[in-house]
Amino acid sequence: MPPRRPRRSKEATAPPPKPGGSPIPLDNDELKRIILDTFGETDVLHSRTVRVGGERGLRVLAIYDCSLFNAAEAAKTVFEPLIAYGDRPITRTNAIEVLKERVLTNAVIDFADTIEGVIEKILSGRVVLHPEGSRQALVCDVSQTPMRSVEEPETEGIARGPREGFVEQIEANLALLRRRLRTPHLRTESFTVGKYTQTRVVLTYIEGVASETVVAEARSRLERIGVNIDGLLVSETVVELIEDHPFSLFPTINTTERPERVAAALLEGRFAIFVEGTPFALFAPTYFAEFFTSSADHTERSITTLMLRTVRLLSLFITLFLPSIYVALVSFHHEAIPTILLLSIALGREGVPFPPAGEAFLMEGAFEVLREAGLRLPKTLSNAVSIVGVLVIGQAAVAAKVISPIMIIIVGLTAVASFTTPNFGTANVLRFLRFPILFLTALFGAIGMLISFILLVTHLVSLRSFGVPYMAPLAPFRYNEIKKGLWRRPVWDRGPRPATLFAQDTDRQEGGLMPRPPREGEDGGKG
Amino acid sequence: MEKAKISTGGLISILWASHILGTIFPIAGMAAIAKSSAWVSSLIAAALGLLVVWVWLAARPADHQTFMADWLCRICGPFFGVAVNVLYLLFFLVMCGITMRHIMELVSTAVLPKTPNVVILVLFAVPGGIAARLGIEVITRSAQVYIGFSLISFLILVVGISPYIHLENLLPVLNEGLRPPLVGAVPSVASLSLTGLGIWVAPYLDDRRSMERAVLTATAIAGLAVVVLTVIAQGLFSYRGMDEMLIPAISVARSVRLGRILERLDAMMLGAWLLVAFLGKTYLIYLAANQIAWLGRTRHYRPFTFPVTVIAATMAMVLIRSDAELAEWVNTGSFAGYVLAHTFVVPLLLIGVGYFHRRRARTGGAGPGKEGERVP
Repeated sequence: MPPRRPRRSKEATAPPPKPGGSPIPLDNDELKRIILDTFGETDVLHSRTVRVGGERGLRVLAIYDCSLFNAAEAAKTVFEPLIAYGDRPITRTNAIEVLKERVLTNAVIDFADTIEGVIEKILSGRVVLHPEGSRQALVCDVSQTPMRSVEEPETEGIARGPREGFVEQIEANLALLRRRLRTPHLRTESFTVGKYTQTRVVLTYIEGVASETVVAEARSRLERIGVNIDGLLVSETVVELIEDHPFSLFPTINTTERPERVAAALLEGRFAIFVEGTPFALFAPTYFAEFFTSSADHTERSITTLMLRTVRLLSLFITLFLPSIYVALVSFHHEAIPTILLLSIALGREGVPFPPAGEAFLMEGAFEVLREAGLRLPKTLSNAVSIVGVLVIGQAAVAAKVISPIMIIIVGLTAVASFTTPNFGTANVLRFLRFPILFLTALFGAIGMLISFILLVTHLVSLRSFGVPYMAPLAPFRYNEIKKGLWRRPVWDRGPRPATLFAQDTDRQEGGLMPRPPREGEDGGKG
Repeated sequence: MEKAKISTGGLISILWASHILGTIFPIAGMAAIAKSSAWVSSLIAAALGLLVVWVWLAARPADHQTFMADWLCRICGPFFGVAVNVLYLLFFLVMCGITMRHIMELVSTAVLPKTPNVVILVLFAVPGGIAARLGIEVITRSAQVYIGFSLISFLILVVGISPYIHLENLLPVLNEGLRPPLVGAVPSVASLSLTGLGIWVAPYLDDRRSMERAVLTATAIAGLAVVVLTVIAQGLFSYRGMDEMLIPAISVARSVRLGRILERLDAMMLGAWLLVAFLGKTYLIYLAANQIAWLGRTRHYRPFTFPVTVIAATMAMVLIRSDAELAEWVNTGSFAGYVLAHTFVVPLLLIGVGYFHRRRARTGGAGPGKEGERVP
């Protein structure tokens, strides 16, 4: 069977038969045989033939996967209307039209023109109805898959703001998004990805706001995946297949569990991608600085957000460089440390057998081991591991003169700082980046750290996310976007959409929204 | 040569970095010649620097999309055009080698005295080669990041040092006439004229005016930096102390105590200094690689970035043996002559030959080739 192009469903109209697909046979039994042969030994595939239009009426074959469909819904909207149609006339030529317009009460009716299309619909939990003598089949949506309820996102918790998070079912996620963006300009384009998983992937954007070029690029990258891979189970697979820099450590596509974050991204002129079975939406283009923003930023006052973001940027610096700074100062440039502090460090290091770099590697490595162990264990046990690791091992190491007390402080500070990064993937990258930086610092002191910084900046500025410079708005420098993005100006002073996103419609809001009490002589005051 | 787009701000950042040599040695030479009028000398240097860069800009083709190498061939003819391009290639390599040598000397004397010089050289050369290979966009964006750090360091320095400045050290003014400040300004003018190298990447900007704005602004900012640094250094140490400085910015930073947080601010200043020097070096590697690509008529410059880095590193080892020798070269005048020959004399010749071509074209003779024409 030749590989099919991915499907883009716009609306429920009968499309022309796809080139390359096998046509549906006129005979019901032949269709049934083909389908059963394709599925082979399976208990879940069921078929039923219903005669519509009396004793000498038309035979309609229904095929469905009983593990994926809602039996009550199928009975109510498909089978009962078919049987209740009675002796009224129906012929082979008008069967599709009559069934769709006068018989079936199902809300979502689609068509299938090829055997492959019929198989795909069955696998999606639909009931496929084939009237004898027709080259087309009707598809009724009665699918039902196990679904957990909408809950608060675990990885992006906020103190104030919406409590809803995405779930594994794509329809529910699209509903959560559409409830926030009630506009006919919200576009959703479906793609089927994975030869065996036939996973549904949906590309969403706001027409007229998002750049057509960027959306076209995203569309072409998704189409390129198509059925060229065997399966798609998680959204990260899509990220790996469509990102600009596959060998980079840094993510160039952002992920979120929060519907309002996706809505905000779409309103800025980005696109989002939903993947069936994953409670994370992807959105792009994105900047490096955005990985240090959180949904909580929009529920705080702008000045508070500025302070929070400053803390996060400071934490980024601590996460990457604090152990290296300690090693560089103590091992290479102790003349830069104030004398009292230097004496205190020297006292703490008395009797410690390792050089500062060795200490740092040992403690940072131990912390990573404890962290990984804590993640893999059940929550109750992970707390115990953390306490044992941090308190018992740390204290014992200091008492045994294996590690100096100041190193415990450095590692602790670094660890705490690494948790302030809101994006989980970026936090992981930053945590592991400090090891090569530490290595270069151990070899060349502050110069090693400087070289690491140069290499890091060179790499970051060379990245792009769907054509948008990754280090924007810092490089290329755009003062207005720094004010908006990093400082989060008050909503009434947000200005136009970011120019670096190439949004079609740059006007976000009208001016003059700054709130103020009515002036003397103006209406609105109560006197 | 490559498909890229850079902004005016990005170009200003690189050009400022390229001028880094201008603040290394000439200030000390300025103090040696102009004595207490050194700060006047810096003002003259800033003004003359702008004038020299303006001559550069006047020598540029009207169409900003034309690459400088093509333009040189168009004006000078196929043979001399290639010769002048080779001359500029050597100029870029020499300047890059000197910058590398300076970085190496600085690091080996101030930070890593026990590390072999070659290791330091390689340590800074490899990232430079990588950045140059990634293209002009990456270099400009890096510059925009580093310039922020440098500006912050410089501001901390100025604010931290201002209480210790003695304005009486700036006196007497012009007690030996105008000649010493004028002569003392020449090395600084030469180093400021290096900002004119921005016209080599003019085709990556939106228009000719953006390029002119970027080059002139970068020269003005660099000139201002020279003036500020000279005034601070002279106000702090008087011209006698300045005379002995190799790197005034770091010598000045050494005298600052930032509360009880850092014993020596020069560490931070040194970091910012090295970042900017690194950028200047990377830009020169990029320019040299592009010159080779043009001369070799290859489609891309990228294969030449690492060979250029290796050549420049070798030059760094061979050309000059120490920072003291470099300072001597800068302050005795041959540096100014060498740089100004490329940044002032050649542009003047280009203007003259261009004028001659136009006159011949008006009288019916053969003019220069078509705009952007590549001479075989």
